[in-house]
Formats: sequence, structure tokens, C-alpha cells
Amino acid sequence: MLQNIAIGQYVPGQSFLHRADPRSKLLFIIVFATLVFLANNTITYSILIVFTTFSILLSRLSLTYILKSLKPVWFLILFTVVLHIFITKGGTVYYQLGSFTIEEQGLRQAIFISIRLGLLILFSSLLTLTTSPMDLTEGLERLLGPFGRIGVPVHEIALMMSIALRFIPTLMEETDKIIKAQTARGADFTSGNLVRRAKNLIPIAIPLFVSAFRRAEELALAMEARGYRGGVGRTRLNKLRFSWRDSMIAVAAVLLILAVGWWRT
Amino acid sequence: MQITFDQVSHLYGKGTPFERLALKNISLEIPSGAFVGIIGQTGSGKSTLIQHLNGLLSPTSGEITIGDVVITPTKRIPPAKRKDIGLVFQYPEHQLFEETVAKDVCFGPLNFELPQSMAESRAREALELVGLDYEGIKDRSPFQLSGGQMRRVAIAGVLAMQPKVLVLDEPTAGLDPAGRKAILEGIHRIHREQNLTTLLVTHSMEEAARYADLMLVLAGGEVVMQGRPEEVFQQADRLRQLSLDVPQTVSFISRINQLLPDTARLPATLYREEELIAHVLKRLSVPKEC
Amino acid sequence: MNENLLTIRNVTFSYDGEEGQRVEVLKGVDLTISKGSFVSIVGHNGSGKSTLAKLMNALLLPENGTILVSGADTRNGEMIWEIRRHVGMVFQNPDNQIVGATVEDDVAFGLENMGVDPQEMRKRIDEALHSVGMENYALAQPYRLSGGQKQRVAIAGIMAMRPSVIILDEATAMLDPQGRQEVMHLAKRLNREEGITIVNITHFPEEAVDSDRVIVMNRGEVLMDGQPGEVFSQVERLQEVGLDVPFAVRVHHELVAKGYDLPFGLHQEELVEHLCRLLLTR
Repeated sequence: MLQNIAIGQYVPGQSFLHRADPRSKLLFIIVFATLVFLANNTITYSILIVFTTFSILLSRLSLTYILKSLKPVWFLILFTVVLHIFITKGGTVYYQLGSFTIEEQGLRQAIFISIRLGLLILFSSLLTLTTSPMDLTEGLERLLGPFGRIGVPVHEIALMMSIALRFIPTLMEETDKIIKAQTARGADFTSGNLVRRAKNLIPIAIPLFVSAFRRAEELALAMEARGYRGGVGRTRLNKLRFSWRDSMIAVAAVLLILAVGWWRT
Repeated sequence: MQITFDQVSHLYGKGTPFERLALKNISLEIPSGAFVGIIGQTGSGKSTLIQHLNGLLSPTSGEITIGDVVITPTKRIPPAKRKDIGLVFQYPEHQLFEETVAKDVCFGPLNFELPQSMAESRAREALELVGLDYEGIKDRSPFQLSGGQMRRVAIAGVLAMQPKVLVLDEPTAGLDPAGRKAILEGIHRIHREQNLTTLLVTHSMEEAARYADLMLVLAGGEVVMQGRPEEVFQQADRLRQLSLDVPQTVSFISRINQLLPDTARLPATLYREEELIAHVLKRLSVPKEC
Repeated sequence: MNENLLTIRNVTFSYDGEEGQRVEVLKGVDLTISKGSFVSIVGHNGSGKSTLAKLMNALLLPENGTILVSGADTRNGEMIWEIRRHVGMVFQNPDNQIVGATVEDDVAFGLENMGVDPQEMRKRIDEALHSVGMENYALAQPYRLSGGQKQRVAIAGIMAMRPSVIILDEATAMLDPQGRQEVMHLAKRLNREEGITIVNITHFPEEAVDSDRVIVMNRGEVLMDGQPGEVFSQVERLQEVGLDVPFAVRVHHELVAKGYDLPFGLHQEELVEHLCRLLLTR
């Protein structure tokens, strides 16, 4: 039942996107997100949509699988659409019922905003789908490296992230086991009202916390035993290296910036 | 309660890339009151098998009969019948959660809608069954007990539901020898006194040899051997092929029989250590006529 | 060969118990462990054996007394990293000691802490994974491995740091028989071939019979200390403190108690031989 929760749902592969450096992918996402907000007409949006489709093809992942990433945010998209139709006014009136109207500007905004949201989510899930969590962490740590000089604990944050990712499967398995064990003792997690259901979670939550703390304590001890003493003087088993793929991504970014800059109004 | 599996299969993650057949056409019969040792390597399907017994997993195909309840892929076990099958998971102490030992043990009975007073008397009974002093321990926090005590409390939490079938998944894992022995002796005593049908999943052939009167050997999701312990242990080569050990007693007898003349061989049925030692002593006390 | 690697002198340790009183875990322990030996420490839960292990690599510091690792006092703050590099520890729960998201990341962890150069690191990781037979799993995710494999990865992480001693703190307690065998074979091989000193803390008497020396802990004290034969022949004393003895010793004990003359042996083969002779000569 827990397999359906997708956190950092990396799908291993050998595509162009899989093999690109996580740093260039992260930087590109920033550029892309900015462009999505700068786009403001049919041409610029079309460029971005075409580009996103092209990227999805490059990842060699199944389209349905990628579109699934939109599932949790359908509600959000729908909500913004409705909001814009109600609030934004101006231009031709398409429909009128009493004081309620659907006007050109409202519809236009609603469509653009939902495209924006959709593109952002599709693109960032493309990042997590093609980048292993540890590459992602390492990319982040390297990109944020300069902030370390002004006192941001970059190394600690990255280590925390990677340990959290490393323990997700273990804790999921553990949760599954605890749910089963309590079910075997007659616990019921599916019926009753909201308050009752929340209360029913206690027999799962407490053992899970206890075990997470025990794990954390043991892990801390094991790390100490292996000479861990914070980020100072640490080296890394270097794995990140830029390649021709990253130059291609840089070229794509420049072209995209130029195109959106030229056609936006 | 009698337990029958008829052609039971279980498929994990149907329709996903992670699809895996964990049980393959399992058929078996466990008579009421038996103490069954279930042996097999990690991943052989032992855990999957026992989770079918109280409806935590449903068979993908086949039919399971427990007492008068029939479980099929579409027909689940009625919730009220669940309490008849007590499942003690591996490291059961990891499921303790209440403030006091007594409350934790009452959790099961209360879930099956027993009145508070009755649940409490059941808890007292169950804690005493596992060899703990009720008055002394009932108000303590389960998290402050020793590892062995925590495990007993967790087992008591299952016994308090007064199951007719008791299933234990490696109840001695991680305990020291004294703790292991105490837990197993306790379970065996409860098995006899409460007239239970008991299924003991274990990695230890020694444990199975000592307590079981029926054995199931699983490998790759199939039951590859079933029968009385002496029947299973006699197929030592087959067990070794499955990377399973035979009990020390069995390998001892087969070794010594290779050296002894045909007439002086030890019977292969002496897989229980006490019986083996008693037999050897008896042999030694009778002067040999030659 | 007889050089002392670990010296434990009159060490005591205690902690604050449930109701405010001090709980004495170690009450004056004296031990020396020589370089290249394979030592087993047995004792029931709460006998102080795990505390002793943590004192040996400065995870805990003694209340009284001294612990020297290759001559360096564990209380000397400047030496602590060198001590931890020398004394590797494998813990009980295989899941709770793996830091890395892949096997090779995890082996790298200790080296990264030491500030080893990436090129050298690569070399040492490959060597270490090879020495524990996990070279084909370098990029595997740890949670997909079996318990025995996880413990071998943990040992690789230590081997990469070029230690002098590996302490297995009940490292086989949570494993199935196969995993237990994997880890014990590996420990024996590293001891024999690479000269690594092994301190194996365990419940299982079968793991201790082939060691050079067995130390029995009870209530924070060393109860017995000697060769496996000397220690395990004291069956009643061991059983009194909740410990088991190997099968061959149990059978031998029962027969000797009934007055039969049978030479002592730790292994089944010896028992078979002796008993066969006895049966045939009657």
C-alpha cells in the first residue's frame, strides 16, 4: 500500500537527461522557471510547451508515467482556473448570468496560469525522475558550496538530506510492518470519523517514532565510530563531472532565453 | 484449529515492474493442536505464508481453510474471527506503544470489543503466562523494560486475545541463549496448556527439532518438504542443497554411524538432544557381548 | 606477535539508572589484547561486553582506569581520530550503520571523514569491496542487500580505513544462519590473511570455539579468560551465568557426569571419534 507514495521517485536509465550533470539540470530548472514566468503570449508559451515535450522525449520515460506527476496538483490547477475566471475581468464578455460573467482576460489568465503550473511541475518531476537522489543532493551541495563561506551549514544540510533519502525505504518498510502487526491485534485504520481515525494512528505513530529515534541514535554512534566530525577537512568521492551533454544544455538555455526574450510582448 | 492450504499462490505487486510470485501453489495440512516448525531461508516465502492466516494478505489464487472459515481471493476472513489467529511478528517489542504494560496488553482485547474489566483480567492472565509478575509490571512503561521483558510483553499482547492458533515469526531473534530458551520453553508450555495450534517460524533447526512435531520446509515460495521432523531430517542431503543445516544431533548421528558397524548404528530418529544422550548412556551401560 | 594492541587497565564505567542511582556496568576490568589475535567475548545481555567495546574505540571514556590503543590513551583528545581509524566497529543492526545511499558511497564515508584524496579513495574502496567479496555491488542501494551483505559492506567501510582491529559488537545477532556464516568466514579470513586483530562479541558459542581466546564477561567483570578448551570445559559455571556451550561439549559433559571416561573436545568430529571408540570397546 505504501509503494504508491512517490518520494524522489527516481527511474534509473541511460538517456541524455539521466547522464547529464545534476548541477546543470538544477541550474537549467532555474532558467526554465524564470522563462515560464516571463512568457506572456501564445508564441512564447508554445515555445515552452514544444521544448518541454522535446525534453520528455529525451528522457525516454513513458509519457503516462510523467503525466502522473500532475495528479496531486490537479486540484490546485483547477482552483486557480476557477479563481481567475471569477476575479480577472476585461475584454470581450463570453458568458453572462446575472452579475457573474466570464470575460476574455479571465479565461486567458486561467489558461496561461494552468499552463505555467503544469510546465513547472512537469519539468521538475523530469528532474527527479532522471536524477538519483544522491546525485541531486551532491549537485545541490556543490551549487550551494559558496554559501558555506558565509556560515550556511551546506555540508550538514546535504548530509541530512542524503541520510533522510537513504532511510526512506527502511522506514516505509517499518511502517508497513507496524501497520500489519497492529492490524493483527485488531486495530482498525479505515473506519470512523476524522478524529477517530487520527486517534487510531497512535499505535502506528509511536512505535515509528521510537524506532526512528533508536535508528538515529545508532546511526550517530556508527558515524562517530567511523571518524565523522562534521564537514571540516572532509573530502568527497568525486563523481560529478561536466560533459558535452552539459554544454548542450547550456546552449539550449541560451537559445530558449533568446527566443522567449524576442517574442514576448 | 485445523489449517488447510489448497493450491495457494500469492503474487506481489501485480501489474508493476516489481511483480514477484512469493507463494507457488502451496498445499498443506496442519492438524489441530500441532506444533509446526516452519523452516526456510530469508525470502523463501515464510512471512508471506503466515500473513495469509489472518487476512493480512489474501491469496491470489487457491483456498485456505482455518477451522470453519474459508478464505479465497475474493472472500476475506470475517473481522471477528481474526482474534482466533494470534500473529507475533519478528521483533514484536517494536510494536509496543502504550504508556503502561497493562494498557498495551489490553489493546488487542479492547479492539475486539471486550469490556475493560474483562480485558484487564485477560491481560493479567497473559502476562502471567509469559512468566511476568502482573502486579510488579503492569504500571511500568514498556519502554523501560529489558529487551527480553519487552518481547514477553509483546507476546502477552497477542495471547491476551486468546487465539486458538498462535503464529510466531522468529520469536527468539536477537536474544541471548538464556532468553531464547526461556521464551521457547514458555511458548511450548502455553501451547500445551492452552491447547493451541502453534506455528513457529525459525531459522534454527535446533529449535525446530526440539519443539516441533510437524515441519514445513519452504524454498523459493514452495513447500519442498513436509512431515514429521525425523522424516525431514533424514533427507540431510536435500536440506544441504537448500543451504539449510540439519540439527547438530542429526549430523552427529550420521557421522558416527559411518564409523560404527551396521549392527551398532544409532537410530536416526533421535533428533532430540536429551533422547540422544539417554540412548547413548543406555548403550554404554549394557556391556557388549563380543 | 605478542605486542599489545589494546590495554585495558582497571577500567570502571557506570551510568545513571532509572531511579537516579548509579548502575555499575564495568567494575574494574583488566585485559590486554595482542596484535593479530582472534578474541571472542561472550556474556549474557547486560554483562557489560558492549560497553567494553565502545570504550575500546573512544565512543565512551572510562570513569576510572586507562585504555591504551597502540599506546595511545583514549582520553587523549588529540589521538581520538587516529584511535577510531585503528579500531573499527561493526554494530548489531545492519540497517542502522549504513550512511551512504550506495554501497561505494558508504565505504567512502570513513575515508571522506579522514580527508583522503579522491583518487586514493577510489583505489581503497575497490580494494576493500574486493576483500569482502562485494565488488559487484558497488553501485547497489544498501536496502536491497541481505543482512549478511550489509554487514560485509560495513566491514569494507572499516577495511578501507586500514584498521588494526575490527570489533564485531554482536554483528551476527540479527542475521540468519547464512548471513552469520558469511560474516564469520570473512572475519576469520581477514584475521588470517590480512593480520587484522578481531574482537568478536557474541552470544553464539559456536562462533567462539575457533578463536584464539575466549573472554567471559559477567556482571561487569571478567569471569573467565583463556583458550576455548579451557573456558568451555567449565560447563556448569557457564550455564550458571546464562551461557550456552557447543553441542559436543554438552554431550561430553553429560557422559562424563555419568562416570564415563571420554577425552574433551570442542568439535563434533572429536566427539564422534572418541564416542565411537568408547562404544566399540565396551
